[in-house]
Amino acid sequence: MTGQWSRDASTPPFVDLVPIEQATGARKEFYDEIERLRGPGRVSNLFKAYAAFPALAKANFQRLKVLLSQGNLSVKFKEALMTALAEANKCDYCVSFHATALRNAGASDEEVVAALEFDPDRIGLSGKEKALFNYALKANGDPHSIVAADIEELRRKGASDCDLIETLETVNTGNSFNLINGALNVGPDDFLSYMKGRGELWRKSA
Amino acid sequence: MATLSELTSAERVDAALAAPGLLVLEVYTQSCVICRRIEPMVAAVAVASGGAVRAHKLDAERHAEFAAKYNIRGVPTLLLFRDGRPISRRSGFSTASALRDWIGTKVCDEACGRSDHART
Repeated sequence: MTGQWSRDASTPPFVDLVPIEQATGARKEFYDEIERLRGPGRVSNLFKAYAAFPALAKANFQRLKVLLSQGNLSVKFKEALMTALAEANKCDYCVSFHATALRNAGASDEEVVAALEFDPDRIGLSGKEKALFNYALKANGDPHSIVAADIEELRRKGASDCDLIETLETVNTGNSFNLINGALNVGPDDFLSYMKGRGELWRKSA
Repeated sequence: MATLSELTSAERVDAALAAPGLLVLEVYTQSCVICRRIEPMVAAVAVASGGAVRAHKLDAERHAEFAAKYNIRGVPTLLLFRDGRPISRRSGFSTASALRDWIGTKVCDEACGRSDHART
């Protein structure tokens, strides 16, 4: 199935994903920054696409760095949530990327599957993060369906204002990357192998 | 797996309802954004149930007779059937966790003789 809710893997990306060795100027400067943080050759396809607008690419990379390195919530929680959002948005690139990051954050294969099944009870999260995971999915599904009772329940689990913002920004970040990859037909990175066949699985099940 | 198989004909609807066990039917329309957002939640619940819960979707605009029979007034509406008999319903977006709780509670209620009236 192709269309609004899945990427066409048989078609090349709609923008030029300039290879690392061919990058020049501001694009090269940006690639160098990513390689310094992630290692040689690990400039993701998402940021190769973003680098068509280098200043915006840098701003978004900085935003991602802040999200994953600061705040109160665990990286495992944030990567589990972005894995779940990628599954909900049918972004095969993002499932591969965030499932790998989730594994790197200490999750087992079973916990990755639980994230793909939107089940926070099986991901090994704290009680507060389980509640925030469901809050995030509800906000993503229909933000206007959130009511005061939802927030009161989160408060009982110990969630602060910062936790709410951190959670919602994780949703925003995951969704914005899903959208960029979907709308530009950007596929999974060559340097990743974990969960890379998710798009094919969706296609067969449609 | 993020998708539900669609019941595209009255015959497929009848076959799905005739099968024993629990069935969640997502009644949707093509233009409904929240329907698209709840679909992977419903699909995940069915997959994680290991076959205990089946799930399909049905286009309310293509199945007007069905929609009238089950008094569908908005989408998404989820209908929960057991052995072809409606035992509960809910509307709007729900997380997968909320759906698991809903199905578990309704199955338990039904076993205890506390079924609600899913047709209304």
